[in-house]
Formats: sequence, C-alpha cells, structure tokens
Amino acid sequence: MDPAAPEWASAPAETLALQQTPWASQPSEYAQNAWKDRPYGQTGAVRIAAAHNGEALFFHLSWQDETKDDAIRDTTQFADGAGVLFPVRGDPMLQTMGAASQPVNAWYWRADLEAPISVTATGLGSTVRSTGGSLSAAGSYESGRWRVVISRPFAVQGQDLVALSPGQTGKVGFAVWQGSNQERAGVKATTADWLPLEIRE
Amino acid sequence: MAQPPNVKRQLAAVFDMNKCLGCQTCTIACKTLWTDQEGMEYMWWNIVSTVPGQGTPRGWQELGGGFSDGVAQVSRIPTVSEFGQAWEFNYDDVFYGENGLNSYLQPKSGEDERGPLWDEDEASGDYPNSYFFYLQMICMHCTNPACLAACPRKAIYKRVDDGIVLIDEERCNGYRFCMEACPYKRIYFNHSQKVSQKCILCYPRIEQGVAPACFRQCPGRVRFIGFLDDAESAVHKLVKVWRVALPLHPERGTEPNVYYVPPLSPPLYDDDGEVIEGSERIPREYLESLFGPDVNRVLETLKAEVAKTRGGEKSEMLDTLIAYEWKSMFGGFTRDPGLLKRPT
Repeated sequence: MDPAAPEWASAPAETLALQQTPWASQPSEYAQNAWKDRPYGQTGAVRIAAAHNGEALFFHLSWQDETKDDAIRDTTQFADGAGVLFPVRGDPMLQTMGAASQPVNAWYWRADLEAPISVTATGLGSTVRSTGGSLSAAGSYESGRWRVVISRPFAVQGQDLVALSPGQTGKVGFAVWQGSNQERAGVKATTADWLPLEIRE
Repeated sequence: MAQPPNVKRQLAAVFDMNKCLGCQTCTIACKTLWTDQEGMEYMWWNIVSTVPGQGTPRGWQELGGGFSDGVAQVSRIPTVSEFGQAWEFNYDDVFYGENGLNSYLQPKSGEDERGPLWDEDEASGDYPNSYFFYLQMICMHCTNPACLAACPRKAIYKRVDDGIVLIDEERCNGYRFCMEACPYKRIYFNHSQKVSQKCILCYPRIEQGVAPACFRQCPGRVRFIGFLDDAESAVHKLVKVWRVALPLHPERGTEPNVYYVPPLSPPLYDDDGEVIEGSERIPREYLESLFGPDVNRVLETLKAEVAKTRGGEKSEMLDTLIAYEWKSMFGGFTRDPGLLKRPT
C-alpha cells in the first residue's frame, strides 16, 4: 500500500495519455460557460501499475503535478484527485459516465479526504456513493509528482460494484483532477476510452 | 437554458427598508440558530449591510452570475477574506494574561483586518447631505435559481409545496458551482463538512407554522412573510396589489422571492443650510441600480400615500407597512416558537 515503495517503481507499468473532457459535455450550462475558454484537463499522462495478492487488487497511479493541493483552506481551493473507472453491466461509454441500466463504478481518491470513495453512475451528473465500497488508498507527493495506491478486495458486497477476480478480463479508465486549477466534477483529464484490463491468475 | 422548476406555491418575503435600524438582531438570530458549528464560523446566512457600500462578500454586486437573456453568466467563488473572516480575539491576553490594564480586546495579530461588515454605517455623499441605508440579505429562494441550474450533481432542489430552495447535503460534493452562479452570493462553503450551505428559510419552523427566526426576532418589524398567492397575506398585498415591493437586481434573471420596499429620502440642504423642498437625499440613479427603473413608480406611490395620511386620510398600505399588530406580517406563520417540536 506504500505508494513510494521501490516495488512499485520497478513493477511493470504503462503510461497512458490523458485528455480533457469536452466542455460541451459538462452537466450544467454554467459549468460549460465557465470552462469553455478556460484550460483544464492538461495533466497529459498518468503512469499505471497494478498488482494483486489473490485477495485484493491494487492500482498504483502516478502523475505530474506542480502543486500539492491536499487541503481546502479557502473557498476557492480544490484538492487534487484521481479516479479509476470500471463498467459494471452492459457496454456503457466512459465519456458519459455510463447510461441508464448500464452503470459504471468509480474509485475516487482525493488528497483532502481521509478515505477514497466508491461511487456508481448511470450518466453525467448522476454519481451516488455506493455502499460497501471497501476501498483503501494512500497517497504521497514528492518532487512534483503524486503517487497514489488505491485498492479493493476482490470479494465485496454492494449494489453496482464492479465484479473483480483473478483470471478475469474487463475494462478500466482513469481520471485526474488538478486542484490548483479548480478542477472538480466533470472538469478533469481522462483516458480517451476504456482500456483492456486483464487480471492474471 | 434549463426550465425553472415547477412549484405549487411560493413563499415570499418583503423587507421594508424604511424601518430597518441595522441592529443585526436578525443576523444573530440566524447565527445562533443555524451557523454556530465548526466550519460555519464565517457564515452569515442573514446579513444586513450598509449601502451604498461593498456588502458581503465585498463587491458582490460586481461579480456577475445569474442569467442574461436566459444564458448562465460566468462569475467566480468569493474568498473567505472577501466574505469576511471570523476573527479570533485575544481573550486570553485581556482576561487571563494578567495584562488586562495594558491590553485591549482586539482581533489577534495576523487576522484579516476587514470583517464581513467592514464599511458598516459609512455614508456616501458630502455632509450635510450624506446618506446611507441598510440592505437586508438572505437567500432569495429564487423562482429560477442559478445555483440549482449550475449544480452538476442535481444536489439543489426547490420544494414543490413552498418554493424553498435547499441543498441536499447528502448529494452535495462541495464542487461550489452554486457559489459561483448565485448572483446574490448567498452561498457559503463549509470547510469542515466540505459541502455548500445557505439560508434554509427556517423550513423546520415554517413546517410548524412559525415564521423564520430573522423575521420573528426583528425588533423593527421590517420583515413580512407569506405565500405570494395568499390574498390575505401582507406579502401578497404589498407585492401584487399595491406593487410597492421590488426584487433586488431583477436584471440577474433569477426571479428572486425576497422583495424590498425601497427607502424614502430626507431632503437635501442647500449651501445656506436651508431645506431644498421636494429634493431627495438618496440619488434615484443609485436606487435604480439596485431595483431597476420601476423603483421610481414605487417611490412616487409611497410618497402619494404618505401625503394622503398627512391630509388626514386612512391608508391601508401604510398601516400594513407600519404593522401595528405583528401577527399581520407573517401570513399565518404566527405560532409561538416556544411550542416547536425540537429534534431529539
């Protein structure tokens, strides 16, 4: 769980390109107008490593961030964050955060929160906190880089949580929020689409 | 543009600016009832500021927000400093530090020097023609709330039965788009709970027939409340029948449900100290900047009504505004708060 552990640095990893979410798909007209001409989602890339111990799945995310925003001391401050997104049922689109009867499940880590949050969504602006998310996470910031480990046991009970087990294949997506740029909600950088996920035996 | 939410009935308020003493009893009534918890220190869901002036948060009237021709207008989140930080005072030093004779009560060093009402009672204009008046602010419980439309999580809703606008703190993720979009800048961020919070029009009191605390405790009988469609209510008469109460900044397009009876003015003095008959101390242009051009019609109506009573006639409108009987102000929300069922 230590994001700075040398094992993570030497683990097989992949660097994924991130792009900004389209301003026109922000779920309120205000958010669209406010971000239309304002740069956001410029994180560029996130390095992903993953591992499991037979009982839980671990993702290690790391990305460049010039500023560490791990507390909200003023109304204008927002915290850095990251998300891991999975389709739960059907064939939901990543960019719409799922659709009716095609939910997605996200693991949401934020630098100012004590614990990560599991959320499910069936479309933009529809996220609700899931029960029984059973997530744990640890983040560390060093030399202009966030390193975050986020994990979940394979066996969990709750509604619309992604089913995960060794030997299974699926899909996964990632997102990063830069707190210093007031990024929150749909104002973020994400992978352009789902990526294949293979959990080895 | 999103459709404004449908409601069956709308509660509305009228604030008579001519009667406000600026005593902030309303402000403290609200503070002690709702915002005395951790993370709410800097919150004033109700505030009475001096106008012309910066208000709270400072310069809010220049920050934009709301709608123009139905299009959401971009604004920004005011900082804690602009809202006015809750000062920490040097109580230890004055009362317990054996330094009471040399020290005096003051904000601790390092505190922002400007509180929420840093220009309180500061007049505009030149003596002897200086003037100021008070602007009472709560959440406007708008018919077309910009906060509700801006929230990407649909965490803000308007109650169907009374039109009160509330933030669902279970759904709120503290994204603060509402704080940006509200043109009246009446929404605060709770740093402890990490959610946005604002005036709730004392809905637990309303539900039990009791007027909101800031209305009930106002010693100047400034505040009227009632359903806008209740023909018996003072609010209905003042807004719909006599039309002497106006919304603040109607050009912001949110259709606020707090209405103001604009202030009448004392006359100006000339260079010899003589009263200039028929003159007004508060410039009409300034009042128009707050309430739009309709303020001229309202002021003429009020002046004609005052002239009528000076001639010995009765005026139901002025009697209503004077509020000889406090129960007449509250549109039926007159139950004794002492009888309220309290949460256990």
